[in-house]
Amino acid sequence: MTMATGLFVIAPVERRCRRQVRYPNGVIDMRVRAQPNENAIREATLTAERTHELVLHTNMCYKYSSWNSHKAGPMSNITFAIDDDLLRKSKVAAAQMDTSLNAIVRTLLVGFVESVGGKVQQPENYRKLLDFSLGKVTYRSLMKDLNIDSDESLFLMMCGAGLPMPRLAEEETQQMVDLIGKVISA
Amino acid sequence: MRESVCELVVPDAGPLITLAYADRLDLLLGLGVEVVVVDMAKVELTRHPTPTSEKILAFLAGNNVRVIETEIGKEAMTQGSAFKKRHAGERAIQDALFEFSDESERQGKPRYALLLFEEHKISGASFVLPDNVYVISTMAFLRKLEEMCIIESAMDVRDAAVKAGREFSQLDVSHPPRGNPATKPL
Repeated sequence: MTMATGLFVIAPVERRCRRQVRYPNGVIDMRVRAQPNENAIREATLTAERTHELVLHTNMCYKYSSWNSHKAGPMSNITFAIDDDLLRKSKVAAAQMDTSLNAIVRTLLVGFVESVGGKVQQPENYRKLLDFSLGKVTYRSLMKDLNIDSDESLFLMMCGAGLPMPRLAEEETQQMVDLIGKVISA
Repeated sequence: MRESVCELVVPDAGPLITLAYADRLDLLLGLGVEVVVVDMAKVELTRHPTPTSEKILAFLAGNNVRVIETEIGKEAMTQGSAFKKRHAGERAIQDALFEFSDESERQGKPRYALLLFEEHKISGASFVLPDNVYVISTMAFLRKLEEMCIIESAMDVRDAAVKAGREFSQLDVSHPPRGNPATKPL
């Protein structure tokens, strides 16, 4: 059997599932709430069968995309630094989406890896935008590389890529906030 | 009575675009100081129709926002789409700053300007700042408005802009920029 390429068809849906389901070759958070569309399920199942993708359950299923199953192996814990405010807001946002921060990070990483390494999509623009977002290239050099001359095009491309614009350090921003106060009250 | 004059100078289209996507152009008036726009920013908005250009131009006209005329801006307006000069935006800003400096001397009373840029433009800016001109970011500006209780959250405004931008973004991010076949779609 050809191993799955990332399409998982999973989940009983009648009941609300709030646990994380782990499979030997992939991990998916299941947060099923609503009734699925039966046509979509049938189509997803047929597609999965046709392309030899991994089908875990075919009776009343949802379609999820996930990391390539043949590459996903044992789970590792990683540690990284994140500023407290962003962490707090991320937790709140994840809770609003009824999911975990863990699942959000994994999903974002999947999107990132697929954007950069995908076979169908071209990664050049994304790489340039990512470098800009990380502060590795300047605005001017990015505009030249992408051959765009409008700030709005850049803004839309960054939005489309799901990347934040480069940001100033918090201290810099706070200094500016204080400065505005002094100037307008002078 | 205030002894000094303070202006909020919008040197390019970046902050206007962000606030337009957030549908909060009105915030430009929030500090209670005169808002002025460098003419090249207006040229950028009129050169190519964009999802926000009409809204911004209507705001500028509707609020009698003063436009600072510069030599290069006049040239750009006259030549329209045929106008192509490197770093025209920065040259226009420099021109406007010299003009501001001269005007301050003529008036003989303290005059200050807050130069509003998007964060990614600040580090790469290459022009001479007179002593009475201060660079601020759109985020710092919004944070000040938050401090003044004019808005509830600066982050909400920025998030609203990104959210609206995403709705339009696929158009830009999925296609190579005009005139640069080497850059592949994302």
